[in-house]
Order: sequence, then structure tokens, then C-alpha cells
Amino acid sequence: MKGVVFTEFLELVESKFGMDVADRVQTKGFPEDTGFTSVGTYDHQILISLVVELSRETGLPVRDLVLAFGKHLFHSFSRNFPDTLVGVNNSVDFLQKVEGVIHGEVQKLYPDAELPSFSFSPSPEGHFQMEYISARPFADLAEGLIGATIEHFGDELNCLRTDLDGTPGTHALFKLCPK
Amino acid sequence: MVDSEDIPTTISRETLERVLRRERNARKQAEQLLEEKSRQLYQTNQDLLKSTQALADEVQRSKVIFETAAEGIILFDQQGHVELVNPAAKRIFELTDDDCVKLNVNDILPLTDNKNPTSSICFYTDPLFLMGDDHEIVGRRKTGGEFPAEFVVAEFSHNGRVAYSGVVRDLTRRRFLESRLAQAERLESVGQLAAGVAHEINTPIQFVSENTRFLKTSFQSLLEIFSTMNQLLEKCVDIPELNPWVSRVQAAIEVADLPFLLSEIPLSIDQTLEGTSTVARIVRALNVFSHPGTTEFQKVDLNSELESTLTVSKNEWKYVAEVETDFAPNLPRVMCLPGEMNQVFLNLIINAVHAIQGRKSEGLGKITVRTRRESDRVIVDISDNGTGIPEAIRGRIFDPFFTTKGVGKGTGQGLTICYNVVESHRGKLTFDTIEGEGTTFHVELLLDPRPKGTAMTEVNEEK
Repeated sequence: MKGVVFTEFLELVESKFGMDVADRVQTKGFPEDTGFTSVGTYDHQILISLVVELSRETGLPVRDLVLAFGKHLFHSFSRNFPDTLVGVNNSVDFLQKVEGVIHGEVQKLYPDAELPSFSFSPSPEGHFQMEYISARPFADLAEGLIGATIEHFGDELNCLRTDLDGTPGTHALFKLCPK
Repeated sequence: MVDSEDIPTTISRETLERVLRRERNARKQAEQLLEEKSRQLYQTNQDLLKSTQALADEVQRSKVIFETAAEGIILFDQQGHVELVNPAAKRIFELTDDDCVKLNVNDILPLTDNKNPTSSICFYTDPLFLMGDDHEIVGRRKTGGEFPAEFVVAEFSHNGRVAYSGVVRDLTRRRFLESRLAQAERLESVGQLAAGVAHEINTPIQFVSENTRFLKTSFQSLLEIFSTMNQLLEKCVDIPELNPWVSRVQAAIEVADLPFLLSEIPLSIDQTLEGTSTVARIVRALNVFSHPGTTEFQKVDLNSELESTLTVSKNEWKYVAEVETDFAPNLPRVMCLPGEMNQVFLNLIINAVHAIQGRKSEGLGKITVRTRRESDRVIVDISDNGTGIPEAIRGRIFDPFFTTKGVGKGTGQGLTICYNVVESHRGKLTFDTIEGEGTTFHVELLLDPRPKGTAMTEVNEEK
């Protein structure tokens, strides 16, 4: 998993819960005498450990923390990579760019990155839906990102998630339905 | 300077946070820089990949052109050392890969007028040759055979040295076609001339024939009158006052040798009729053989065509061989170009005559012309008891310009023309031969060579 996810997570923890909590989460979740850099690649299990430690520290459910992290991640990306939002007017158009454009750019920098896949289709009701498939159980993170995207564009949409076959969190269908 | 002992051992939280913030920002800047450099590296790599691909495509295209060019391409250095030969050049010169090692361009394109053939200087790199536009020379195949070739050389610079690329073209086929065209034009002229002559002769020979026949029947009447007059003469002998007249008539009969005339004149008339009949037959054969202006397929009676061809070629064979024909009765008509097929038959007959002339034995040889039908085809066999074809040259007798005949006797095109004409009729021209005993050529023709479903113009269908 790309290091930027780890650095953004720890920045979120530090900003929301303080430096001491962030230090304890990192010390227990990743007991190594080193930190993370955004250009590095780390085992995704480390992120899970960090989230679990944060949940212990704060008493908040893991799912809520990951959803919140997803939102944070979207805002961070939109701040750091504003070009990706240029000319895009709604969340559906943006989400359709994730697979082809954003993941394409990531692959240029990190050819070995293992990225989740998104496939798009109209739902039986005629709405937009996207299928998430990943080797890692981060459907909650994807849900947080999608929610933040809808919020960012101010679209009147609900994101309804259905978990599909496979390891929990690795395969899900997100339907964007009008409110 | 301040002693280290003077530095406070405790650091405030604010100081630590400032230090941490600076370090974090520095790390982020380093990460952004790294990403930017990575992006540039990616773009450079992509550009390089494109350039490499474009270069590879160019190399591939050049290679394909070099490998598939119909003309031979030879790259060589200033001394004529061959560096690269394309497949077409290998085909033209019959070279293997091994032959191309240490090959000099002078070996395969020798200059017959080269004053110094062993010179290490390659004539083809001479500016005079490079500038010239008449590049027809003689090429030499690995097997030793020579052929007319066109060789055009260009100079270029490669890796800092001068090199040369030569394009070689085998002109054998072009020369053959040019010569065939010239021959066809000659034949066409001769055909037209023959047809014209035949037409001009036909009319007078007809009235000569008719008048001779009239003379023959008239002479029969005169014979009867002569017989009656003879009886009258015998009666007049006994009448004294007519004796002087009888004597004069008898003297005139004796002077004219009337009995001889009466017996010989019918024979002369018959011989004249036979002669005019022969002339008429030759005229008809000439007309049939030449087929002037016939350029379309038509149904043809090959037996009749062969008869005509034997007639017009009689002067070629009558002192060399006796001809025996064995024509299949009711032979179906064959769809063909009669003028071209007659040319094939004539060439094969003349070839047979030459083969017989090449024998050591004396006396007339024998040419047999046979026709037969096999399934959907007709086969014409033309046999001779001549020299036969040596095994060593059997594979080359249909090659253009190949001949074993002496200078001025054979052009080496007769059998090639036969082969091409028969092939163009979708037929086969094959031969059986035994050296020293003779040869039989088999002309195998489809009854209708046209592809099924096509509608070629048929002229004179019921001719």
C-alpha cells in the first residue's frame, strides 16, 4: 500500500486527537524505529493495525474511523492534486475518472502499485453504480472517499453499499441513488 | 562559541513542535520533489520507448523492404567485397548463405571488357560507372550460367566510411519477351503476307484449274473426232484424185507425231490438274496455318490444324524424314488460339527435324504425329527418332535462350514459346526421351481451358 495513505492517516490522527495519541498509535501499531514517507510502499496490515490501535485509544468503532479517514483522504487529494478536479462538475463524472485517469497517473509514478479496480454500469433502476474489487479489505475507505466526493460536489445523492462475495471488505457494490 | 555544557537540557514543547513541523515540511518537499522527478523520468522513459519503437519499426520496415524486394540488392565496399545480399539477389545468382562469405561483386558481375580482371579495384565504385546510365552487363550465376543484367550502384556513407548499394535486375525474361514480341510481330507480318498471297493465288489457280478441266473434256471430244477422221482418211486412200491430200495429211500427222500427242496430252492435262490441286491445297493450308488476326479462343479441329502445319512445313522435313500421322477419328474440337497452337506444332516439328539431322546415321528419319483423347483433354504426340535429349540438359530445355544448336541455327526460344503457349492454355507440355533413340513431346490440352462459369468470346464456334 502506498505510503501516502499512512502519512495522511497519521496526520489525521495528530490533527484530531493530538500528537500524543498519534505517537501511541504508531508505537503500538508499528513498533519500528522509523516512520512513513508518502513515496514508500508498506504492508496494508500495518494500516489495519494502526486503525485498530486508534479505535482502542479513542473507543470509536473501526468502521467510523475508516469512513472518516476516507473523507480526509479525498480532501487531502483535492488539495494536493487540484488538476484532477478541473473540468469535472459532479461526483459521477469524477468517480468515473478514478480508474482510468487517477490510477493511470499513480501507475506512472509507481508501476508496482496494486490498486483496487472500479467498474461502472447503470443499475437496474437506471442509476449509476460502481463495483469495487481489491486484494485488501478497504471497502469502508472507498465508501468514505465516495461520500466525500458527493459532498464535495454537493450532489443530491445517497451512496448505498452492498457487500458482495469474497473476503469482507474486498468486494462491494456502491449504488448512487437520488435522495 | 558556547560550551555544550551551557546548552539547556530541557526542550520546550513549542520548540519540539516547531522542529517537528519543519522536519515534516522538509520531508513533504522531498517527497514532492521525488514524485516530480519520477514523473519526469516516466515521461522521458515514455519518449524513449516511443523513439525506440519508431526506430525498431523503421529497422523492421527497411528489413522487410530489403528481404522482399523483387530486385536483387547487394551492399559492398570500395574493393567490391560483398557485405550483404538480399534473398532476391541470392535467387538471381543462385547463391547460398555460405557462398556470400568472402564474395566479391566482380565474381558475380564480371566485366567482359575488364582490362585487368584480377585488379583489387572494383570497377562498380568508379565514379564513371556511378554517373553512367547504361548499366547493362552480364551476370554470372553460381552454376556458371550467364544472363543479361542491369546493375545500378549508389554510393553512401555508413559509420564514417564509404559503401555502395547495388540493385541488380535479371533481364532474361524481359529480353525473352522483347524477342518474343519481335518474333510475334514478324509472324504476324508473315501470316498476313501469306494470307494475302494465298488470296491472290487462289483466284488464278481456280480458273487455271477450271480451264484445264475444260481442256480435258474438250480433248476427249477431239479424240473422238480424230478417230472418225482417221477412218475417213483410210477410205480416201482408195480414191486417186484425193491421194495428194491424203499424202499431205499423213505427212502432217507424221511430223506432229499425232499418236504420241494423243497419248501424252491427256497425261499432261492430268498432271496439270494434279499440280493446281496441290497449289490450291498449299494455299488453303497457308491460310489455315497463319490465322491472321485471330486473337480470340475458338473451337478448333486439331487434326486439320496439324495437317495444315505439316503441309506448310513440308519443305523443312521432306528431305530429312518421312512423316506418319495417326489422327484419332472424331477428335473433339479444342478451345484454343489456333495461330499460337500451330506455332507450337510447327516449332515441335522443326525441333524434331533438327534432332534427326543431328543423328550420325544416314537415310530418312521418321516423325510421327499422333492425336488422342483422354477424358476432358486432347493429347498431341510429336515423336522423332533423332538424337534424344541428354540427361544433363533435360531440366533446362524450356529455359529462355537455352539452345544446343549451332550459332545462327537456334535462338533458344522455340521450346520456351511452346511451353508458355501451352501453359497459357492451362495445358501441359512434357516429353519422354531416350538419348540416341529419340524424343516424344506431349502437348496436353483441355477441351475447354476456360475456368468454369466464365464466358470468353467464342469466335467461329462451328468452324
